[in-house]
Amino acid sequence: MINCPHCGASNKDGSKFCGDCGQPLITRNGVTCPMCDNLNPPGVTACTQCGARLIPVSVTPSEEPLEPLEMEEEGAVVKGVEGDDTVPEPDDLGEAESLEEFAKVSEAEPEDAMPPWLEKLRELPSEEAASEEEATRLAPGELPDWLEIPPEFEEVLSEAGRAVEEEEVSRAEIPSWLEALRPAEDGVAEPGEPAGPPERTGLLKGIRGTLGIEPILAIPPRAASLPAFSAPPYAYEHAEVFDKVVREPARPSAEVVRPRRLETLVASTLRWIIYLIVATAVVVPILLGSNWAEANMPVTASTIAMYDAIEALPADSVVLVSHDYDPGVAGEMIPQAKAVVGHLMRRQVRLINVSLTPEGARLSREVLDELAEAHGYEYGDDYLSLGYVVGVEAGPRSIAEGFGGAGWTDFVDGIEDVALIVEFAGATEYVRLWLEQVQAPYGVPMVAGVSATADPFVRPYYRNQAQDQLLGLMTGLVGAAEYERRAGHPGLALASMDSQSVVHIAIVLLVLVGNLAYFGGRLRGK
Amino acid sequence: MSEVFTVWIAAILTLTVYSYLLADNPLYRLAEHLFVGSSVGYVAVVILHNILRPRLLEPLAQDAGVSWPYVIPLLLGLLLLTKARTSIAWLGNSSVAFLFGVGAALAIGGALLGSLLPQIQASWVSISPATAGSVEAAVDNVCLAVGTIGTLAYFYFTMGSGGGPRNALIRFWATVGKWVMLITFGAIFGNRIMGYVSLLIERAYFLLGDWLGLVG
Repeated sequence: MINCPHCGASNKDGSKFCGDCGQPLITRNGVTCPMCDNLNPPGVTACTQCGARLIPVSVTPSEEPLEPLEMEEEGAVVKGVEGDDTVPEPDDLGEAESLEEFAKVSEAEPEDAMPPWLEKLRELPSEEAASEEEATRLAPGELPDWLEIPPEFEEVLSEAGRAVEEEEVSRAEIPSWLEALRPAEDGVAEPGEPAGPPERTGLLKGIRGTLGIEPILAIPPRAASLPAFSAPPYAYEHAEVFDKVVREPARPSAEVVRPRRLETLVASTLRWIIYLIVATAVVVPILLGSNWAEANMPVTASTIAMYDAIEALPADSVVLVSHDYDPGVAGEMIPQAKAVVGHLMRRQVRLINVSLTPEGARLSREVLDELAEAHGYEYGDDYLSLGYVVGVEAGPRSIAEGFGGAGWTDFVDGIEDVALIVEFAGATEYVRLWLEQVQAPYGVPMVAGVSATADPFVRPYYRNQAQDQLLGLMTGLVGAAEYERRAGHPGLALASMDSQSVVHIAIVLLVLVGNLAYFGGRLRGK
Repeated sequence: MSEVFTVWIAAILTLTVYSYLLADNPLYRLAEHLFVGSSVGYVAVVILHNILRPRLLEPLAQDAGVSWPYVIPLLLGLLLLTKARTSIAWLGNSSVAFLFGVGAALAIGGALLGSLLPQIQASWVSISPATAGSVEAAVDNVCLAVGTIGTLAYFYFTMGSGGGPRNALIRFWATVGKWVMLITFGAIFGNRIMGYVSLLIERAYFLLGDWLGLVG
């Protein structure tokens, strides 16, 4: 327990302020003596340095008005004590031989009985002593003898005073903001000073007008100022559903995590049936070697536009081909690259190949080597590969700048000599990089072959016919098959289309059957 | 001989990956870890042999007097390595700041010039068959305009809670936008399935042709 040094109330250990009077209890883990500022350990009642009492004596004032003390007899008031008479002499002890024995004897005596040495203290001062005291009382402005300045120091002090006057030391002007911080004395606030009692403790001690914590916490929320809330009916319905879900008691986990053995067997069997159907739809057309799509597959306008853009290239023009894909989409992108690069080589254009993905450089090399051997292309003369280019946004821009400034190849003197950019992108961001960093700033024509996943995000660039952002676009394995059919050079993509078509039909049927079974089950449940 | 060995390894790893259809198993995990490890190792080799050596180290070694500016990116790259140790990671802040600064500047400028402004301009289409070129083109443009307005209305979240004709109009277009987005998400999902089927067909051709020799 910690006793408050101001009001004496008991407070919990560790308390910093008194719970009754609010005054600080401890300072730097102790109690500061109000007399000598000595830091005392917590819990002490008297200062360890000066002995001052740290806990004030609580006195309950009487409700009745105090009356002046009655002077029953002279000597009731102790005016002064003569030093020689204050200590009891051995003769005053009476019959007692020692102080201890005298104390015992005194306790046995009645209360009104006083020892002789104490009776001496009741003597009133004599008239001579009173007149002497009157004579020694100082008049206002006078100093006692012991405070009088010795003559030898008067000269030194007068010289110091003259030096101050010569230096014309004036009182410093205190700015208004600093004056506002001047600790105020207790009492009435000065004019222009904030109202309210001054702070008594802490860093703000003596400053008026500080904002207390209690008023802030006591401010009630202004709920009345909020606008009236209204929501559409469906919002209330949704809220009711949410409320119902939240309030619904949780079911025991045993009921949730333990499906019946029959259901598990049925689900596993159905999954294997789906696997079997998809595998059959893929494998059977391959083994049969069907070529229905080769003769009947339509070609979309975007693929035709891409083919036409390449077909329009003059011989010996330079085309920049970027292979930005990884093994995850290689099944779609490599057939595209084979179809388009084969067409470019048949057009006898020179190819500069790059890649914004590390894997793309490796995968494209197989395509280039195979097609270069088939079309008689020589590395360095007819085509070359700059490999992997790092830098995300800076990658395509560095390629465009590097053609002119860094002289990466003697195929072109600058990006303006590139007749067409052919982009193979497994993800949307690669098309966007080339469009934003090269096509738009330098105005180089561009076509793209993208994965099926990226198509919905890239197609708006192809549709922008006003600015010709993408002259042509082909999508996925289907796009590669369309290109092969348009070019009249059937390959792996076109051969895969029968399997792709059968799998698509199988998936559509499975989705229909699954939905029918689901809705049928719901109808039976009702 | 090595080609046959490679085909066999590839075929076994392919079947190992497809074993995940049965359940998660150690063989699938082995193939997964092999793929991740070989990819990281390959990327490291490519960066060293295709980027650092020919474009930074060799120019500095051959003609340092001309290629001395390459010391700056070399120093910035070395400072990036300090990011691995917390106590000295602050040394790499300048390199990161340089990368982010250049990247952000290129990205913002490119997005404005290559995507935002051209696409805003491309959304001003004619819905009249006379100016659009054909009835099909006009219908296509109407779908484009309706989808654009509806999607923008769906993401208009600052609509007041009260009723009124203005809010009713926005709610109508928001409903249109919701259905346009649902159709779009369906198309994206369908395209993704189509991509996965393409990968399956490519693997089937590999297993049946290159490995088993059943397809020519």
